[in-house]
Amino acid sequence: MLSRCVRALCALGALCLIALPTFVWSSPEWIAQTAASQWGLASHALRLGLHNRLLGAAASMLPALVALFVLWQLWWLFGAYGQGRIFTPASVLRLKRVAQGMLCLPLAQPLSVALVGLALTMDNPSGERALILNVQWHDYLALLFGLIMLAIASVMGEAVRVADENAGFI
Amino acid sequence: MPIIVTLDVMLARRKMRSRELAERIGITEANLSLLKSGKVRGVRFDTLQQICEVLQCQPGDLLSYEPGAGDGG
Repeated sequence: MLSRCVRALCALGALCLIALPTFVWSSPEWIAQTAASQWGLASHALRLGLHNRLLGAAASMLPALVALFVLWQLWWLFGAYGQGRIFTPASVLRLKRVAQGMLCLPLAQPLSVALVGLALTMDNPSGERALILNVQWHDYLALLFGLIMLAIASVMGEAVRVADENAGFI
Repeated sequence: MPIIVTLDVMLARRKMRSRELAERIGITEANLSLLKSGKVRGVRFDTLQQICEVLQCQPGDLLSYEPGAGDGG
């Protein structure tokens, strides 16, 4: 039941990660609104030409790809848990990948915002271009949970070793 | 491993099949087969006790020590 819930959330999250940026980047109004509310570009003149939008969309895909990677690993992991494959080296590997992905997010997110800022202001006159450094609370949380997940993965690795040893006793 | 499992000898003496022993001590036939062939890391005292009870024997009747036998395995 739990594994199904997590997998459903992973699928929903992946759908949102693909659909929302597509929706936002297809509309200049939405870009302007999101840039002001989330990317700290409210006080900057934005250039929303096709190449600006394409570059911006590409830059914004960076954390989305990392998040999709994490969701894919979670999807696989909870599929294995649902089938009772808990103490296996493959499950530990996926758990480690989840942790590594989460540790990449706090780097990918600010880098993405900085690149989006550049993409949307690169055609402005010199002095009016924006290089945004935007570290948010959820970046800190991703770093914290990434480290916690890495520790849990290490513990699970030890549990796999113990389970394997235990299976050798009749 | 210089510890040799002689369970098959004891089973032959008692004229008992592996399947019956497995059923009576509550382990799978596959696990009993692994035990007979010595392809296990160890035997739980609980399992040993049950085998001894069913076969009416001592732990020493099921295991023997042969120095140099299968070293490195």
